[in-house]
Amino acid sequence: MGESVRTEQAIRTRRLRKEYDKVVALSALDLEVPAGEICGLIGPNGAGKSTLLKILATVIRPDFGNAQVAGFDVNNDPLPVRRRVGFMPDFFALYENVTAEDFLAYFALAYGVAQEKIKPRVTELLQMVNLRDKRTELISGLSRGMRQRLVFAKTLVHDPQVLLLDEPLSGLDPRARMDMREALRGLQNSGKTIIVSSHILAELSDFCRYVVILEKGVLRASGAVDEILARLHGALQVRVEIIGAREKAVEVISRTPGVSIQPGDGAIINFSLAAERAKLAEINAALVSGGVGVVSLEEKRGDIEDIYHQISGHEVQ
Amino acid sequence: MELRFAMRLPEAWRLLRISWKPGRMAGIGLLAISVCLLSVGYIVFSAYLTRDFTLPSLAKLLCVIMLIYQGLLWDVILPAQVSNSLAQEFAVGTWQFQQTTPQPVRRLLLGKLLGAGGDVYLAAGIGLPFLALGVIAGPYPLLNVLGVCLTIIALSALVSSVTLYFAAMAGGRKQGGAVTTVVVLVVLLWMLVGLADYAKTRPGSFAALHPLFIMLAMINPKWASFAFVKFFGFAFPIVPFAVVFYAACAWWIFTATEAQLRRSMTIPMSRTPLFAAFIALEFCLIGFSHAAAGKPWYAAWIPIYISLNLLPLYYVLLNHSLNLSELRPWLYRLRGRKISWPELFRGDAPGVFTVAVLLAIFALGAAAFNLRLHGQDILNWATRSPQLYRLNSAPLIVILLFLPSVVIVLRDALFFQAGQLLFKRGREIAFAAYLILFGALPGLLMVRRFENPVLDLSPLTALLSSVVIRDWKDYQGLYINYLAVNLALLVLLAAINYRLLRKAQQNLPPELVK
Repeated sequence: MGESVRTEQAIRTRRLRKEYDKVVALSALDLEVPAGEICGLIGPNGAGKSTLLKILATVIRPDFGNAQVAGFDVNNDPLPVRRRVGFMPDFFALYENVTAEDFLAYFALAYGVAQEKIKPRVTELLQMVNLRDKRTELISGLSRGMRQRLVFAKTLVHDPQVLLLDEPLSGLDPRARMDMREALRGLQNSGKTIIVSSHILAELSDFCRYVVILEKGVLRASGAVDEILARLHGALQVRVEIIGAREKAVEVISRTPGVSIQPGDGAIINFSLAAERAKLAEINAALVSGGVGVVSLEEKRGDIEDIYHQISGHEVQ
Repeated sequence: MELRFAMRLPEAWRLLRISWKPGRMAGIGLLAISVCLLSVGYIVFSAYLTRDFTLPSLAKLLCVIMLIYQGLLWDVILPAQVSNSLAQEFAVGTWQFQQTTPQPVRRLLLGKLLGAGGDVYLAAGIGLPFLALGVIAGPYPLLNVLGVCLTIIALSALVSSVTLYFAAMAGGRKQGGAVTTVVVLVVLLWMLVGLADYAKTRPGSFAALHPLFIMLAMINPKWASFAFVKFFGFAFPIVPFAVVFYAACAWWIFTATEAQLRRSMTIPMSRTPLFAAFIALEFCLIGFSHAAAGKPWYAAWIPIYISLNLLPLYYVLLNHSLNLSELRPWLYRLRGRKISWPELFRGDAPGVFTVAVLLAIFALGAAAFNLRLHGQDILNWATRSPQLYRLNSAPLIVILLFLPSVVIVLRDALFFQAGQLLFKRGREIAFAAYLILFGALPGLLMVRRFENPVLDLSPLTALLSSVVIRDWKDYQGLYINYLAVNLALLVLLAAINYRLLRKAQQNLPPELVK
């Protein structure tokens, strides 16, 4: 339990390919995800997200190529991979006629958790997913959201190093979503690598620093969110809110080399700055000394949604 | 204690936790007691009809009914529950959770075998006092009854393994309905009775079917002659024989199920060809028993040669034809893409390739063996018995027998290969078609005709053969026809496979065919 990841890359795939009859789910996928990251896996339906997660969880085999999870090959060493991975599928069925407590205890046994640790671990996890008062209830009596939380707890039962979560937030009420996000942050702080696939990009933006974009089985982009944004924009994106004449403000800002004003009107001026961040202070000073009232001046931090829109051009939820 | 058991067999722990709940146990217990009491009622009623109220008669009937009760529980209900516990995992979708745990498949299956019968253990336990009553007051010796019980349990292990295997093979596909099940059971029963009858004259493992009559022997003295089983010339007491044989078969099928499930759980597994070893041993033993009976040497060697040279190949054929994985790496390779050899053979090599390689190895081995053993005869090429048509010439018979065998194995390899390419999602269809055609295609059917086993006619050979078999001489013409028909089939199947392969290649994604 809790063995350390063997490499700096928690996930590494090379030329990974999977076909279902004539549909190519993944095509020659080369991917790396550093250990300790929360990685958002995004893409439209049929992009290959679930297939990728299933291959990494050793549920299905790739047709070609190989994938390593925590340094172990999914084709040749599936059992060591399973000991280090917690997989939460998007669709799942549960043993309806067992209690929540027994469900977790069963998987703790199946994963080989030490005998004396099983009970405290199960109690801790039920507490974590707010199901402690439901521990003796049959699963058939649990709501969808409760089942989702129970499966999340099952995913953590053997304290895996890598978590593969396929749409973990779907089916949860707002409060449970917040709790889940907090839990994921906590897990990341404890050094776990987490891959989360989701359609809800705004929610991924809250806690993912790393992103992988798939489309029709092809990798469109991957890397740290900031790095991708910098690559996409090549400059700082700045937003200024002013009081007073817009023309004057635009004229002052334009004096700074590397500034490119974006079209618009009103009190908000958006521009990009191909220079170091320190120039922002100079622009602010110039605006104030030029008699322009500055309400705010801030660097726009792009998010996953921006990246996805720019790269794929697709609308997502 | 409970946790220690659970650590070893989590699946058994889970299943027993479900079945051993107070309410459920009370229900099952009540049902079991009712059935036992109803049996007692039936016994009293039948005694009333026959006016025979003597204690031994009543107890005898009670003993028989309770043994049937135990037999139904262990050999019908338990296998159904074991099979259902696996089939449900596929059908409902919980299997994907099992797939992600690192617990060994063997342990998972053992857990199902031992844990799925929680209800049965309880009901069987409730029936035991009634059985004990029947034994104490009845005429049957305790040892006989214990023997029957042991046979029932050993048979239960075998039937449970078989049902588990079928559940594993079926995966998530829908099973047949009740009507299909009844038809299959009737056909199976009919086959078993027929085979058991046939087994009386057969020296091989068919003899193991005799113990199926052991319960009948308890009821009807007519079956008492089955108290001993003749197995390759040796007489074995029926109970130890049945228990060992059923347990061995159960283990063999259990390993087959394990291999099947490991594949579905994406865990590579190279499986010892136990099936081939078993059949080879069977044929060798038949050969030795022929030799021991003083039959001509070739009568002894024919089955041995068949087993050594061919049956491992049949194993490979079946193994590949029933494998559910895809053949894409091989198709890519055929299109010139560089795929490493380990990757090609890690999953499923097309059966026909493996068969061809193994066939070549066996042919070389057999040639070397024959040259060493019969070199003298080859040089002195002599016919010792004209009426046997040179068949008793040692090197010739080996070559003559080996040639059609090679043709047959390649023919069947191509048949299964076509099935593999045609039925991507249902190789069992190809296997079923093969079984149906087995009687029609010219094949190796060893039967007793005249005094010695020979290659017998199959319906298709008979249809195409212009030879009427009157005596041994006519087998020359038959042999030629037999070879010709199989060669023709071989060519036809090769052409079909070529077409299918070309079609499959054309469907490959172009970006990978570089």
